[in-house]
Amino acid sequence: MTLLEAVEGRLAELERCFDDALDVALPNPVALIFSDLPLGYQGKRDLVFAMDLLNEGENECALIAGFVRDRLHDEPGADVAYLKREAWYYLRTSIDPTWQFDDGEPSLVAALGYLAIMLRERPPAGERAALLRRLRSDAGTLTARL
Amino acid sequence: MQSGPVNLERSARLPVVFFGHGSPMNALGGNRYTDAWRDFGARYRPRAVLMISAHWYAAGTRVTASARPRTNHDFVSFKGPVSSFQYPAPGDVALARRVQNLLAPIPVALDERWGYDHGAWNVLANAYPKADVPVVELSLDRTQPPQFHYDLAARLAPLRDEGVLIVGSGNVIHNIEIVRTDWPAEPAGWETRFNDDLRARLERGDHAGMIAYDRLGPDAQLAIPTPDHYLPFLSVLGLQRSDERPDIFIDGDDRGGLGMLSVAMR
Repeated sequence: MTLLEAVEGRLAELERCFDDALDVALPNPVALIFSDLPLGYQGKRDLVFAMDLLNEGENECALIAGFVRDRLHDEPGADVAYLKREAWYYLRTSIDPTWQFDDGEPSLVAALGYLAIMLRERPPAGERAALLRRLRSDAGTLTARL
Repeated sequence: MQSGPVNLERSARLPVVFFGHGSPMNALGGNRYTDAWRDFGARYRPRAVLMISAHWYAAGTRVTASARPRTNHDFVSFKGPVSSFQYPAPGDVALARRVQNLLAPIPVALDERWGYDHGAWNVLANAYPKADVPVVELSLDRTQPPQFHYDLAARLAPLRDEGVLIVGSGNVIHNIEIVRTDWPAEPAGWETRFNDDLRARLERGDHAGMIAYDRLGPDAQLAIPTPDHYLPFLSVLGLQRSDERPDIFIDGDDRGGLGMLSVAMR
């Protein structure tokens, strides 16, 4: 699996989470067909954030992950280490202050998996740090490349 | 610092300056930081300001290009006078195009929608309170690494000889989580250590070390949890000439987590 394929797969999953979260959050019945709107990934993310379904750090992480996909799409093999690190920075500041001491390797795979779980389940604040650590651990060898 | 305005010839080279801007409340003045900004503005009277603010963190390089930029209130946590504060300085479309030309072939979008964000107006309201100096803002490109911002700024050097004051506005230490919370896990002294280290690097001209801030260890990790407020500082470093010294004209901490260091290269 290439980097681009891995990122695209995770972002597609996250976009489905955006759809599901918005279906629940929007008035029912809505006066428009949400899926017909030409929003795309970033537009849906904007809407999810505006409806307070993601916090600021989570939203920034999701935003930057979209940039990673775009960059790799434009130039397969591009160096996205900076973007990956920045996405991770924002996500870790969204969890709890002690996460700022974490010196583990950033993992975009884990970050995107975490965001999907946050949208689906929003686990209690006290469980989130452990969740992200577990996801990073589970990301395994992909972490080194992503 | 000298007192009184300096009448600049059009050919005189202006310094390049980084302001640690802190809270939007600083627009209202009345503290030692804002006093220092006011003194700086009294000393230099540019024909225009090119502002590189932490709060225009965009996906690409953009420059404001409207004659009358609006005042953005890009925060939710501050109420009262700052929430309706206006900084009615004119824009400068010609300067925007000049910036575009200097940075070519890097694509620079002319932006007629963005106004002055609080990183710009809380500083400028003190330095130039009459709002009579035209201002153009240049965005930070969030998709680009630190070295890009350093290199990009260096290409703007000719503006310093054209009466344009180039300003970076951010904070070299900017950890909002620490500002917002009581933080028992905070390691004692990290902020002072990082600030002292940064000052030492400034003094010896260690630009490479400051650009690679993410390799400066855990204190830097706490000081710069996200790049946005630090990158304008790198822009100012990129404009420092080899014959210029860093003049740290204000320093200190605001509310435990915001480093207020301001430095002029002159």
